[in-house]
Amino acid sequence: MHLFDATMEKTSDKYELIENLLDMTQSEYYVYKVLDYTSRYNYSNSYYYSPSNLVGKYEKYPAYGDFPEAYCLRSYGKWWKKSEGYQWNYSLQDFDPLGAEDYITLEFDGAVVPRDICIYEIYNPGAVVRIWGKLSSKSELQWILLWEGLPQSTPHHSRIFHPQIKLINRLINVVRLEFNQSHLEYHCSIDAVLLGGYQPKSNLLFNIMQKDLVDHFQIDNAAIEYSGPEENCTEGDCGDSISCLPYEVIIHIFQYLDLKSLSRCAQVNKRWNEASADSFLYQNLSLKFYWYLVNCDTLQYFMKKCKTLKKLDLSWCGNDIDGFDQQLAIYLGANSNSLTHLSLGNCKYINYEIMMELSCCRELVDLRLKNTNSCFDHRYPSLHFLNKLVALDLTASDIQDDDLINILKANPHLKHVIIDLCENLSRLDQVVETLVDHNREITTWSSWKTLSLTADGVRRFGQCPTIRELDLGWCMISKDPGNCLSFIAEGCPQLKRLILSEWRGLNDHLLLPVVRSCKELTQLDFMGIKNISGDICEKALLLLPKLRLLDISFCDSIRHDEVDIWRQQYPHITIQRSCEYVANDYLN
Amino acid sequence: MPNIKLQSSDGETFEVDVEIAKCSVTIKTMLEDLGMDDEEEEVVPLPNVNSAILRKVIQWATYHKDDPPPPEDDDNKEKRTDDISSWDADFLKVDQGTLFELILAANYLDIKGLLDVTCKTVANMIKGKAPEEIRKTFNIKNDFTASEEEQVRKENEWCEEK
Repeated sequence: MHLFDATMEKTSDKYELIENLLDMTQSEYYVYKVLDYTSRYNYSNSYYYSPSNLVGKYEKYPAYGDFPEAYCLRSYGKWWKKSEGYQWNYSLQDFDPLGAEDYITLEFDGAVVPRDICIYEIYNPGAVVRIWGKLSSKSELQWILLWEGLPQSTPHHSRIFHPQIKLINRLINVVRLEFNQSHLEYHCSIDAVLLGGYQPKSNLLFNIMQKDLVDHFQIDNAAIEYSGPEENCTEGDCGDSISCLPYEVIIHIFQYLDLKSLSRCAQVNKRWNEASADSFLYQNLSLKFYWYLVNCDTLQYFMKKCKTLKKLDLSWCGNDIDGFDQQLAIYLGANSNSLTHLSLGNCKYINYEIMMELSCCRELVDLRLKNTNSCFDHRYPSLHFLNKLVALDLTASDIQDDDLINILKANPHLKHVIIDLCENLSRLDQVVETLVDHNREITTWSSWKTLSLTADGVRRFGQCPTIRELDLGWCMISKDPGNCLSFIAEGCPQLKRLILSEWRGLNDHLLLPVVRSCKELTQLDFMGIKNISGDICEKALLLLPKLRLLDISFCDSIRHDEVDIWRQQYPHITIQRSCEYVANDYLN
Repeated sequence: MPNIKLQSSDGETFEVDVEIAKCSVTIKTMLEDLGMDDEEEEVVPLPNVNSAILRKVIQWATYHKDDPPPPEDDDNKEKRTDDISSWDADFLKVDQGTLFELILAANYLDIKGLLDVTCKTVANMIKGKAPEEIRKTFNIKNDFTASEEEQVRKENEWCEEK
């Protein structure tokens, strides 16, 4: 497969491409190993939709559809952001203009000077917003941005996404993709990723390149890099009038700046240096967006600036950096009296020392440990010393029943509990029992794909009148739900969001009480409930005035023509209906 | 609607609807403290604002008179700078001197909405620029010595891609 397109060849001869100067061979690799990811649709031991499906050559392309053999991201659209338990950005100046929500890091079998990256998108394409390459040599800055662009709305066809990437003359063997799925109508799937480029023919040259001894081969990227619009400075100014503004106004201006801009302001003059160091500007730090720049020095830099840190988001940061765990422990220790919000999503280095400091942050109200999978070792300090928690996200963590029960007991004001994909929870009914007794303000409960819940446990949610969101998707896949939903119908009048995906034992009769009583429902997910008919959907559409999302994908007993009619009748309601033919093949 | 008179530093008087004038917390407090509500002929002196700027401030306040009260500063509010309305953006197409005088007036008169939008405008002029570009934009003198400059550059290099 010849991957160069014509435009690339035309531009390339203007630059010193290493392959034109040295003896190199063209090589292509598919993914060898998945190193890290933020989003998955299934248990870690399942192959369906799993990240590891990206390994090797594409299997389904050019077919288009919802194939379990591909990698599927969990969220799509704006529905997730509407959840009250959603983590909003801690520091609102430092938001990602491209809105990346998830990433996946992929290793390839060989290191190449990258020229082509091809992403085989086979369901709802258009979510990739950034492509990073990691230098195979050890150097201070390891990640290089190869491409970025806005999320795309594309037709419903499979495609090979093959953007023109930045030309570099260095070897990479790891690629990271960042996704923004918020504009998609449904889940997106990727079948494979191909890395194409050049490799040195001789071992000597390969070693030289690995050691970064080829600086003189740097490509002048200036001419192809996007340069922002020229600022039209106002002419004829009366000298340095910004300096006549009082200090508090300068701070008022600086509060709108992101951390990068503040660091540049510090270099302007002495007055700006002083103002930009004001600790008021560093109370809430969201470093997630700067993950590729954050190292131990960065943490020290901010430690000097913020005297009273309130919110810290270090998600995506610090992996593979020596000593970062120690630095974080020191940092947490220094701010344990002021910290109210902490998010450490995908931080894989959480250890005894960090948990020790974390358990002393007694002011914490919002704690997010999504995808951490090493926090709850039984030898580590437990988190039940905290007692002010309102939001707790432990998605895909290694939390165990007794730990969670102790946390629920110690934190009476908990409103949002998210324990999706927690594979170590084996007594969920007992957890719910504790919740009912101790957490009387509970609003959001999400235990999507966390097994061990039974109809008894579900019944108890009927004693939580404050609950507004219940995500129990896949919890009851092969169990008899009995009449447990009638307890929810009676006891949860404020329910807005109810996810019952793959509750295969349900039927119209068992669902009816909820549809009749929970008038606040806006999102209703019946995905994979095979025995329900069009009748219950018609009732839901008719009886629930606030309904906006109804997912009836893989509900085999509901006919297409019915769905088409509803879509015309209720244009304000999104009715999801994913490709059934795949369901029949794989999910039965 | 009763009017009141506002007098600028250079002696010009402006007759303004009381409700519009009260978007300035400073004027509102002044009226309440002095019980000037009923006195229609009273003149409020504003010695810190000249007539050109006061005219602009009144123009802004008149356009925004029906806005909902600005939310209190809180952490949850997104501190974005790309949400400036097109009317405000047009209104603020002025030279830098005027822009900073408007900021000073908004600060003195305590008009939160105007202070926010003018400060956001300045923040947008700073964003994405290198230190030297910022100095050039605002005509700021670099008062660091060469060694100080090198030191602050080093201190702040975390965000620069090498």
